[in-house]
Amino acid sequence: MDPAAGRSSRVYSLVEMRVILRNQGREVELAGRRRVKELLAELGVLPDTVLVIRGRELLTIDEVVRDEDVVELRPVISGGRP
Amino acid sequence: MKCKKCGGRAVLELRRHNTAFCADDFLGFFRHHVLETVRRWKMFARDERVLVAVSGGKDSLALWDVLHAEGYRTAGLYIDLGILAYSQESRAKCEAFARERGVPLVVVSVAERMGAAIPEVRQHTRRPACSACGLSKRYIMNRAALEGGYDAVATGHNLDDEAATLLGSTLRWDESALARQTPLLEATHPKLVRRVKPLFRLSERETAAYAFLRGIDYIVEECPFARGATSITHKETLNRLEDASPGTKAAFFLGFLERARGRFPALDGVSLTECVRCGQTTTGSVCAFCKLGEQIRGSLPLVGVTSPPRVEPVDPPADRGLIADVAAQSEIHAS
Repeated sequence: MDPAAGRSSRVYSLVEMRVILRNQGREVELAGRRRVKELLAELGVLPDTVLVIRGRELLTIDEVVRDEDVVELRPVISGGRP
Repeated sequence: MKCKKCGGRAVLELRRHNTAFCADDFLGFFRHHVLETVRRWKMFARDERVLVAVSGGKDSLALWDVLHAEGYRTAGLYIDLGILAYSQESRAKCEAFARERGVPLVVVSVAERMGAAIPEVRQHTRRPACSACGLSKRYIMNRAALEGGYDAVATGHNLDDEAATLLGSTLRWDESALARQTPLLEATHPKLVRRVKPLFRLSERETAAYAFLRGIDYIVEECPFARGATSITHKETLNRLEDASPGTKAAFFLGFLERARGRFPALDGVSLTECVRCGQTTTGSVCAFCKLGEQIRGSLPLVGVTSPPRVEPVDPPADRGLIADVAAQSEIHAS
């Protein structure tokens, strides 16, 4: 018999937001909701230099991201061409 | 944030236009800009054949996607630079793109044409990788287009690329480079093919968003040799200016085209002849591409080059078609 059965329980989200910084090859975890604009400022990323991607959607700077989100900051800069 | 056109949920804000669009309206905005640019600048007509130089990156694949979807007569040209995993991955992206749409893709290898891939050129000459790479690309683009009977070569240069190039030329007051910078380079010699840049009014964030929203599988990582390139530094500088004052890049480059470029007339007295080795245009007797190839072949034993070094036949150059070579040594995907 499951020892937890019959006991009241409450599940808390312990999963923080995961931000993938594609151009730097690293990931950071952050807790708490904030706007994309604030997220970028915290990470020192200029808004016009990345696409902000959550799942299959692009986010504008006023969108809110929160715990459990996986957000990719995909660089748009390219270079070295003639 | 709402789409300024339909009021739906916006997916991209464009600060320099003080607007935002939903996915569908952004795609329409992007296509309109490309097609209007082609039309206004008379880059190519509907019945002309266009060779789109593709790198596997967002810009060139986005450009090819728009032109193909609009019914232009296009083929892709992928230039294999031989930069190991980067080239393998970018080539695979281009091949998949062409295969999915049933459009032809021509693949030309720098190593086959010059006797060495870009990493060997970098290793055995003092020339920066980006410089040798640019020279090789321009040479192969023109030669492939000429021999394939294409009317124009289209490249994926965007507003950020052009603004960064302009900044570099301006900082050096390089008058000849300023005179040459244009989105439409007409053929001034029977052996030159018109070169056009239909994305020059669109930012690289816009081309990235287009590629993402269209589901184009492009290579996100940039060329490993481009790290630390001066052009990247110029882009970063312009990005900071753009952040402080949206629209700066467009005002800088488009203002140059409208009001300043004419002040830097092309230098007179430069006459083009045909290279005695390959028959392509040059200002001397041997073109820069052939000279670089000879320099490489005369240097240390090469590593990683599978083809035997060879010298281009002196004559008749026109008899040895690059496209004919390409058919034998590379893939052509056709519908």
